[in-house]
Amino acid sequence: MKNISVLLVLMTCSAILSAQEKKDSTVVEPTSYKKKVLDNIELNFLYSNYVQNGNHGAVTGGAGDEHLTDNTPAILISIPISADEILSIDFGVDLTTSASTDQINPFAVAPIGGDDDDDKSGNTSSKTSGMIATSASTGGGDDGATAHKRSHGAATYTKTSDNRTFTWGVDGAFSSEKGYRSKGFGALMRKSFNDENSEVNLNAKAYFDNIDLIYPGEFRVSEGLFPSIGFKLLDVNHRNSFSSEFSFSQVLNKRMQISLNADLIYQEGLLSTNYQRIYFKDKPIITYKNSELAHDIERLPGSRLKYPFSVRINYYVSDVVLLRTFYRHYSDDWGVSANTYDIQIPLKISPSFTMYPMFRHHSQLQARYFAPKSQHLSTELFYTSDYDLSTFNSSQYGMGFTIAPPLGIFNLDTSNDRKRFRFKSFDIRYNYYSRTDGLDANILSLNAQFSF
Amino acid sequence: MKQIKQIKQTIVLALLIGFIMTSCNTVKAYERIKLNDKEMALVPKLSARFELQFHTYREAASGANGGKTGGGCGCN
Repeated sequence: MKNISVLLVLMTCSAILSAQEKKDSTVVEPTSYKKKVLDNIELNFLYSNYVQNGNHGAVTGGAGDEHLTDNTPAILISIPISADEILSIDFGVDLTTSASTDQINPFAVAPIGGDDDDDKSGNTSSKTSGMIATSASTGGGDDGATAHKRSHGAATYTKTSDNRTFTWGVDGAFSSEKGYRSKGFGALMRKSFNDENSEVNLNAKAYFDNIDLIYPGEFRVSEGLFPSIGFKLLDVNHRNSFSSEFSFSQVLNKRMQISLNADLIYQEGLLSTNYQRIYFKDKPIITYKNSELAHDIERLPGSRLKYPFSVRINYYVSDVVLLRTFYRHYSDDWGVSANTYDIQIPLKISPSFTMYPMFRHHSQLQARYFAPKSQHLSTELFYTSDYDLSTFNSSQYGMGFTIAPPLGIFNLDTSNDRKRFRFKSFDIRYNYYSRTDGLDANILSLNAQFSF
Repeated sequence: MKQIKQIKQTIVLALLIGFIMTSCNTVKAYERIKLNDKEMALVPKLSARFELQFHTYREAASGANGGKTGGGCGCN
């Protein structure tokens, strides 16, 4: 993880230096003029605060506290490494506290002085005579406990043709959190035609995830509880995702444009979450130390095919009012189908200031493997009590504000050069989200954009 | 029954899109002042990326919106 972070920092510094050198050299030896794809280095500071409440925690079998907070700072920097090429680096950290992760092993006794966050020894499980041979698990911190950190980064390189109608690129990404590591690769292609009134985008990505098999406490031999006897261990600890994205966008007239998007996503490997509990209808529930001992963990098929498509239409109604609309239909081979509608109405209060109320509605039909707590039968092959896979409607509404003066915020003029440092824009938005199963959430996000 | 409803929805959508597409004409670069407005971009705002991420985690549906379609756990 640290190596990747250092590599990303070095790549960023090298690209910035290279961009500066090329900027200087073009001053000394100007040849023919070609407009750059990106004039200046652009830097975005992003931050989000997310707070969620609910009472259908999947770790506790579909009934339990789902309180969660997540703070996510991130940096995105786009560097013009030549007139045609851009390198974008994206890095962020999710800092999460979650009530449900405390419940993965409620029988563990926290050691004095806490637990080293990097110590994975308690989480690593292996098969020995069909039993779990691990989980020293003396620390709540071993399970990710309350605090949880996820680091993620991505680098994207794009190159545009001389006539600016064709762009291709490649990208690489990683994310790392306790018990879960992911790396991904992708390629993209963009072609505009019809006097740049039409554009086709193709995007392909592959993610390769590795999972540490952390089981609920009652299934660990070290805890000495009876559910661990005869417990069927998982034999897969990876999850691979492959996606292809296609989009076609078209200018309809001077005020309206549309894009049609279709994805095909295939996932295989461990698609269930190994520490989410299941309670069966046909088995009694036994309580131990104020915790209900589970009958099994979530079991789901080893593959999933998703095929969503969407339409986005933006309309410039007047110099004051704009409309941004989005519709998506989603379906997959687990039986989930969903419709999502999103509308934003940017209101241009002044040339520099825009406010945008927004509303989103989502309705979905559950996966065929979902049932609430104590509704599954032990004879079933696959089962989950994760309410993210249940039938529900959700609504989200909120407001956003964008400040983007033509000369930048505060007009920070540091030199006579047109490539001066600028605080280009500031965007802040708040949304309230509620689901018909009782889950609700507040999310505040902001983006400060600079160029230099 | 559900499938018939879905097919009907798709047909209506296709007809609507077909109607809109037939009304389009070539707009020259110098006529695109309104289309070039940042608010008219056919992608989600950068500040919306966190919402797209939590929708991916909290809902069974994902994709076709420029968001992430794989990688990472999101198990909490």
